[in-house]
Amino acid sequence: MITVERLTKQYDDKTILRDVTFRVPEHQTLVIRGESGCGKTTLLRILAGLESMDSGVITINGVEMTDKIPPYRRDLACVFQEATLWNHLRNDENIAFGMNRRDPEKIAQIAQQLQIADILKRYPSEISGGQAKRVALARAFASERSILLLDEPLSNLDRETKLVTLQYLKEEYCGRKTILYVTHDLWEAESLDCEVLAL
Amino acid sequence: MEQRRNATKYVGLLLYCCILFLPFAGILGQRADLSSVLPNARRLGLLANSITLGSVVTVLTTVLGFFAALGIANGRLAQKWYRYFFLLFLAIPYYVYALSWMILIRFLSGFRPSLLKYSMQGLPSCLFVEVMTYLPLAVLFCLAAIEMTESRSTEMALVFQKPETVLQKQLLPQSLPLVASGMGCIFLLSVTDFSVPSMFQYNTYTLEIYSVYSRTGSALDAWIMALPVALVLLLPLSLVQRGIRRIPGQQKNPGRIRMHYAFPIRAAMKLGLGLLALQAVVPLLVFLVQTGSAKTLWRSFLMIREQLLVSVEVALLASVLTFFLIGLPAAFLERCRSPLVWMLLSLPMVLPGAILAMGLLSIVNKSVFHAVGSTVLLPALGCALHYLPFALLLLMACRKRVDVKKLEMAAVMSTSGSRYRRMERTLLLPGYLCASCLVFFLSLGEEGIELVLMPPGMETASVKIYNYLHYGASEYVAGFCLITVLLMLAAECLILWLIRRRFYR
Repeated sequence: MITVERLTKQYDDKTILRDVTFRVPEHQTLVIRGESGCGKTTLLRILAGLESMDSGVITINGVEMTDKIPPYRRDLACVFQEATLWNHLRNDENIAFGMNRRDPEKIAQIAQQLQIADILKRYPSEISGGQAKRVALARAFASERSILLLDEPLSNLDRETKLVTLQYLKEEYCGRKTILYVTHDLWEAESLDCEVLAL
Repeated sequence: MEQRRNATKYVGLLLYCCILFLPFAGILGQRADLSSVLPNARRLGLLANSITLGSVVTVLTTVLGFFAALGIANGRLAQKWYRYFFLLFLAIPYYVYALSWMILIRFLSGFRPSLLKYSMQGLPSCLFVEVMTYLPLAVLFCLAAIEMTESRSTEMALVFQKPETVLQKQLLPQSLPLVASGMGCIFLLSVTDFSVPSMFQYNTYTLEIYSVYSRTGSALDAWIMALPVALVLLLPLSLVQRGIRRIPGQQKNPGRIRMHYAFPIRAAMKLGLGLLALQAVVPLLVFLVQTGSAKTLWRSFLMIREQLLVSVEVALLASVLTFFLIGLPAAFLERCRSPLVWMLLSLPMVLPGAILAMGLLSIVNKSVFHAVGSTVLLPALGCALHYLPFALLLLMACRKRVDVKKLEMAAVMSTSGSRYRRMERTLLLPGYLCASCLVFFLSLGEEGIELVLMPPGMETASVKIYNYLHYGASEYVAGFCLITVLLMLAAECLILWLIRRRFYR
């Protein structure tokens, strides 16, 4: 479960987030929508521990998140707008990075669903942007984290792949993980059929 | 845990500072003969000589280097990984070019005898040797500066203006901080060097400092004499660290844009590239011809192999020491915005290496570790000391270019703290390796520090070549230089291959 109370964030003199409050119960999905520059990505980065907030309280799974708790202890996985893969690791190694114990069968199964099974043994520099995005998604799905933070996860994907990926997400992870999903796309938001937070 | 990490960082910083400023402690308690070290008209003239040589070398090298870099960025090499090929010749010591110059002049004097007077003396000889030696460094700074400019804004500018105007109003201003950093670096290296001026009998202030030390044996005298040159070099030092601090992070879409410049600029680019090629090709050709035969080359190798081994030992020790010392200060500097702290941590760059060596020798001889003075550890420590600030700044430059998003993703997705730190080290490792390699190759060609710190009975290849050169060139000296160059090239190619194979796919 994620609880955010009166979260405020400023950059220089500009207030990006002001008194944001919401609650995402366990295993529920929340879609976050808003105009460009309204702070959606900043919100996810603060939850992930990559940026600090100016005021407010964040609780994840009952534990209050302070600056002292590093990102890898927050029990979450994320996919941002850029794929951000590590070039010196193969794609399957990138996917396995977030797993406590490497499970080749699980990796193969997720890769099959995301249509990247044939590029597992390649390196990130050898694949396209869309394929890299799917590898990043596979990395998040394969990790044993209870929370997924997804920031425009289907950008760079063609419509058919979006359909397949979204379907997979709904079937396998909605109802099993707590998901925060940021999107501009009305169709994606409606497809997920869940609560919407407008920033 | 965060507190423990911060404590480790401060301890590492303290250790770095203790080692860096060790030579300063060496002069404590000594007495100086002020009458013999205060500036006089002659010494001010020598200081002017140093500044003149340094300024002309800096300007020439930077102008040539900038056009060479522009030629690389706009030519067929533009997006190739080997466009930094000239770095292979960065570490080639000055005496290689000094010998090439002497041999060339002797050859040309066969057609015009009056040229012979330039063979072993004068400003032109010093200029040639130093420009050739520092040209790769200038090209490195300029090419890095050009590649770090915003490609999207350059594209937009090209829509509205011709390439020459875009160069003047867009590229040059954006690349100026790092180009100025390169100029500062070259000026520092030129003014603090005495080897080239001593070889060509061009009297400089740094040479005078060394002469006073040789005469009096007093490190404190030498240090007091070094103060004026150190003050002069504070401004270039501030340029060096300012440019490094302002290096931007990785661009999203770096892209390369080929500009179609007018003829004068294209000609300047070709000139720069031609000199860069000459810088690499001429010494090799000259030495191959001068050495004459494989038999002479083999004999040269047999004559210098012991010294080469000592050189490699010293360089290896210095680079290992650097590898372990620079990490924590770099982590500290990453969060430090104060230019004064940056200046302080790179302050020894304003002192000639031989001066640092003198201070180090004093402190070691006075301490319980004086036995170190009879091993290669002492010259290795001296080399590490001298080049530590260079290595630190290079590491800072490399750290700034690491994709922060990859570090952040590792911070989120790691299953444990140790896994995250392992990923962090892997992403930062190329920077550490580059910094250590820099120290390795600079130490391999170092000679001023080793003249002061080498234990009796031991000699490095650089010192042997330096001594032989003073007696005039011979086919054996050409052989020594050729072997040194080939050894360096082989080591560089191996390291480059290893780094590329491991980290860049």
